[in-house]
Amino acid sequence: MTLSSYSDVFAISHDREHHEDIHAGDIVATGQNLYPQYEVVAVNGEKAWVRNVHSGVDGLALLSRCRKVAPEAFRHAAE
Amino acid sequence: MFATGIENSIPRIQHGRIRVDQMESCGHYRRWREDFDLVQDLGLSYLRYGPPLHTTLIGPERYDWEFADVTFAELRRRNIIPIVDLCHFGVPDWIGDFQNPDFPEQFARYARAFAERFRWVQLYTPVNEMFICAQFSAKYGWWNEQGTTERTFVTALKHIVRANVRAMQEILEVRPDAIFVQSESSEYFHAENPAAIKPAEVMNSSRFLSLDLNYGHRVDSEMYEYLLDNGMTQDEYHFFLGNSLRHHCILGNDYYWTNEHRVAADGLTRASGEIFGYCEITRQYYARYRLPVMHTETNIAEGPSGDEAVNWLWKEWANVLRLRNDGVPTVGFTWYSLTDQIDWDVGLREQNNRVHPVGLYDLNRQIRPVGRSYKQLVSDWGAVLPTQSICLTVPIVPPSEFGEQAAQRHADDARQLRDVELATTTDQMS
Repeated sequence: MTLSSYSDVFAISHDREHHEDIHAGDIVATGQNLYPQYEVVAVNGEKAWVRNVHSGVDGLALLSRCRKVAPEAFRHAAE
Repeated sequence: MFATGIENSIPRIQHGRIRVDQMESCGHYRRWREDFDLVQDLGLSYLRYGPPLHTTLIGPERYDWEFADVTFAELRRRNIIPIVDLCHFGVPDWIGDFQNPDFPEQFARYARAFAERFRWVQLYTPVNEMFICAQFSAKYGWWNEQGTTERTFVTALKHIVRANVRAMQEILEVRPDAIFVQSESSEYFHAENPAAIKPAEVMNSSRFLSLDLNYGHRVDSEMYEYLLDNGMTQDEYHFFLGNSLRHHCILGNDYYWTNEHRVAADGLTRASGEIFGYCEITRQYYARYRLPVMHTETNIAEGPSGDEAVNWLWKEWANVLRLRNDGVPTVGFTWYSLTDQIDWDVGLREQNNRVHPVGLYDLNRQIRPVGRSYKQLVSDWGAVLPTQSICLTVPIVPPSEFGEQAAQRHADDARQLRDVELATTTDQMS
């Protein structure tokens, strides 16, 4: 087994562990926390091309880690 | 010492029109009990924490202790050991900014008043990141006085470091066994090409200025000329040489991936990212000051992968271990801060209310992966002797033991040593 990250050492699973269909245009977070948030630019296989909604910086995220951000979460964010 | 901190920066921006208050924007004033719960839940005993200076020091020798009284009583009840951060990038409106020559004495009196009110507090960072405070306020034009000249920078620097030294002196009068944990940014400047070597060398000398003055270490000769050319007098310089309290200090240093810089031939700098890393740069600081070391701040923003901060935590911890294994007495580590911050992505220069996701917890107080990792790291490594010797432990009196006989003996011994120190120091308070 190859350890790709210290998440493995600490046994942290980032996967959402429930099914969600993620599409381009969705606003997602890549963990259980509210921020950072990303707009999905495109989806290809197991990966999503995401853009940080604040900074505009692009990145690749594992689709299995993306969670759609619920609209009510926005209201509580950074209160 | 494993620690975290409650981010409490309070610079003013936009020419004084806006007061940044991170404890307000991160919700600490409302959720402080919950924040202390989280500190304990992580298994931490040490917390970098301080009352908001701008609302506590309300006039010359006038104080409003309302918030400090309740929060510090709660810290004491929980036996959390605070490393008290008295000034974090800002001053009260009535003081104005760091160009004000009255700031050091007003601040020293405040430090004494705090120490008298909270005698059980032993660990202090009187002024946080003195060099950064002077640089961002008086050279980059970002905060407070928003100065942009060498003279405004030197003026801010000498006032800030003098305030720190005077505060240490006053606190020692009250609590002779006080320990001061500096929290200074550790920097390195890399020359991009041979023509950039000279400006990089100058910058690599200037990075030591705040600690040189604070520890009474003679500055490099070029820096001496620079200080005197830009408004520091010989008497002011000699104050620092004659009032060193370095033997009461822990060389706390902060390291972020932005702390290393590339220098071009014209002296312009840009971020280089991590090249040497914490271990090598701290070794340089240790070689200069020979004091026990503590990693007092680090973090990195969580990104699309989700484990960026987890990996950075592990990298920083590995650096601390390397340093310790090389024989540098390394006494602590800090992930800063407990929660996410606001607007630090632009160095607090703008008020965008943008979350900077660097905390162990997010602003809803939901733990982040790095928080879970830190908790595990503290649990795994908490019992390992940091300096590899039981003879090199930091003599800390926990709040629960303050006033006990052994603690009193310890304080009496410290007072005797301090009396000897004062009697043998040639230049006091000049």
